[in-house]
Amino acid sequence: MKDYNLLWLMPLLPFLGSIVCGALHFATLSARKKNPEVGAGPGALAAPVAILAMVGSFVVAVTAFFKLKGLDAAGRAMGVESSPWHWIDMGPFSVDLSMVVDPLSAIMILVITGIGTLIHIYSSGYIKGDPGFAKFFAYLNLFVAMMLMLVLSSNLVGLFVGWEGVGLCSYLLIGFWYDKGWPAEAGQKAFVVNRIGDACFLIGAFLLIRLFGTLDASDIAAGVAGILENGEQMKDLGLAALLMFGGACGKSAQFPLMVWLPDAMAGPTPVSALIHAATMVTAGVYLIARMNPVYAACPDVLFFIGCVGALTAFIGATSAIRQTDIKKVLAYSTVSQLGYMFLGLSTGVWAAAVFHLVTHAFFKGLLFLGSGSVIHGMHHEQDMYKMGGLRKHMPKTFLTFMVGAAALAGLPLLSGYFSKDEILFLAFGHGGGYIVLWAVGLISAAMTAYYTWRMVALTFFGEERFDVDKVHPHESPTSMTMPLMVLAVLAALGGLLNLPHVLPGYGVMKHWLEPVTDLGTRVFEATGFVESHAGATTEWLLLALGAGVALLFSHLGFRRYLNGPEPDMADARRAPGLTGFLGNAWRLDGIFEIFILIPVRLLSEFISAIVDKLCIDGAVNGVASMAKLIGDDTRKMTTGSVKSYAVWMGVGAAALSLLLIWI
Amino acid sequence: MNVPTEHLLILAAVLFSLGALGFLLRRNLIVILASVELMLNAANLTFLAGARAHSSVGPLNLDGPIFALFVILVAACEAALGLALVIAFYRQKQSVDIEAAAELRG
Repeated sequence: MKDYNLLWLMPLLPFLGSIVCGALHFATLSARKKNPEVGAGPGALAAPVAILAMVGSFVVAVTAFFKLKGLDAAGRAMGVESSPWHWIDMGPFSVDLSMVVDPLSAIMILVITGIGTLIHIYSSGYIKGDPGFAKFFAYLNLFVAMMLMLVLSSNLVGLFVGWEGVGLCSYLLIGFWYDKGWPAEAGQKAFVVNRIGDACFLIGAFLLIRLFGTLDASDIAAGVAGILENGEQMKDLGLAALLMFGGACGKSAQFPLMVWLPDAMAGPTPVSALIHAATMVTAGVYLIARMNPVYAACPDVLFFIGCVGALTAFIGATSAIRQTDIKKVLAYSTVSQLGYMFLGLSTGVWAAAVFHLVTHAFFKGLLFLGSGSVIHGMHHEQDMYKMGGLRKHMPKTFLTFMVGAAALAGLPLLSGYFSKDEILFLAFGHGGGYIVLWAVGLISAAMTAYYTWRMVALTFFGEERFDVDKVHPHESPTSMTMPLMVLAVLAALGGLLNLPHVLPGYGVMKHWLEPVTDLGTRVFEATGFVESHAGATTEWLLLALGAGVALLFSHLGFRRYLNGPEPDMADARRAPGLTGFLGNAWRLDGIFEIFILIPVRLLSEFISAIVDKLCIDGAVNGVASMAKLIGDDTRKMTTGSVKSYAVWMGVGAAALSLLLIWI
Repeated sequence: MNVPTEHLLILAAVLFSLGALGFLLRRNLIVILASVELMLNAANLTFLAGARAHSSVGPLNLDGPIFALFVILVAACEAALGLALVIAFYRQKQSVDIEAAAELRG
């Protein structure tokens, strides 16, 4: 369906909201200059403005969804599309940008605007009283606009604009409290690490232009089938796919580029929930699902993606076990869950990854907001060792957090259980090398259950490990608990969206996505790639195994830490090397330091000392000293004696005359 | 009696050399100016000798005498300007010694 121009409103509303909030921020600043006691000032209006923009965007998203739902399969494959904007025209290469809602982007926009609205409401409570109140909402709205741009663009160029835009907003929001120092550094780290991935993305896009002459997603999808027989072009396509995955690695925090995500927790907690759990970090997953025909044509790249995903899931889960900061646990958990999504993509069943993306957005968004509520109630305490017993003080946060934790741990019938087991089942069913990936995924799932319930036990159970009379932990205001409750319902029931094959009413999301994923499936038919061999019996067995593992390790983690963090100290005494290794996330930062930062620094020292000081400064100073040297000698000709001038003049005149006579 | 042109040219060369040596060797500014006059007049003599030599073999040629007249004119101007400079120089230095003007030594 063409020319549904209301779609432009979706990114535009938050964008306008961002501009208004920015103006309100400047108004607040000038009001504060006149009267420092003014407090929030005109900035207080920012929250309603931003939330209204989000609600408007959400309404447009819902209408677009229903428009799409009303179409038949062929119409859904085309999607609901705005009229194109003839953006770039460079002879053979042109860019027509339009906003497209197809089944894949429909899911994304509902998640982004839906959860985005909830988190905006939550933020109005969380960030209250901060001097940058309006600025925060300006950034947050801009982020949503950019994220919508990313998922709605019909063209990879538009997607890249959104891709960079969300990176910028992520940087701004991680460093929101830049005056504390380390958040600014964390923002820089995120930006620089992402830049490595973005460079890969761009090179991949250039390769795609060379292959297909266009960056329009649907044209590329249609073009893949045409080059399957051409070995040379397939090599280029494989390279492009790999480079695009490199971009996804940066944005979606996959090994080895995941080091920025744990540091990104320096930002305010709603930011962690929206950007670093629910939406932005899933952009890489979206990118690969969007380009699924390209990846379907390169099974080797797919397997590589699976290896990276499983390894990341494992590293993330093992690192989360030893964290003491509640947000760091969730950050490493996010890294790990993103690994599962890429493992899901690598099985060739794109819907499984998108399903986990959605449920993860629900339960991880919920957990982050819950942790934010805890941090808010504990007056900015993030160390779980200094918490405990909070279930009595903040019952609403406690109950909703339990739901999120159960979903993350994969306890039966909750959303995380279905989405994670779907991915593990597909990896198992695929056979071959994927069996190893399945095993790694299962071990990570066990550890996920363990660290999740360790976190719950340390935070909410046991004795209070702080002075109750001094700290006064309190339940958060309604503006913060309301989003928690909505998300708790979604996290609990999200599994219904895509039940396993063996249950009645299965695969709603899988069928919904078929118009998009069929493109890849058709390529699979041409290349002979079989997604999964497993039958119903295997599925039942694996569902039971997943449930058993989750329950067992949840129990272990919960029981062990019920009475406080002493088991951690005991572990550290028994195996100091290993606990330190895991606590520092496999010392990846140290490895980066040794293999990248120190060489770069040494190279910079070399360039500064040798190239700059010697060569460049040498050339500049050399010219000056040369002039001085020549001057020192020639100035002696100026003797000041008129007679010597006369002699020179005579000699010159004589020489000229001789010259004239002889020539 | 007809003086040969060679003699005139030799006389001019001797006069010019005397002037040049005087210009280079004497330190008194006024003597230096006089030496310049001597050189200019040596040049005049060359012009006139050349004009005479040319006219004796062909039609009358007045280029040489006219050039000599111009040189006398320029010499008059130069003498006026030069002497004014000498006076100014004397006021500045209380001396007419050329060695006193060495401000621009490098």
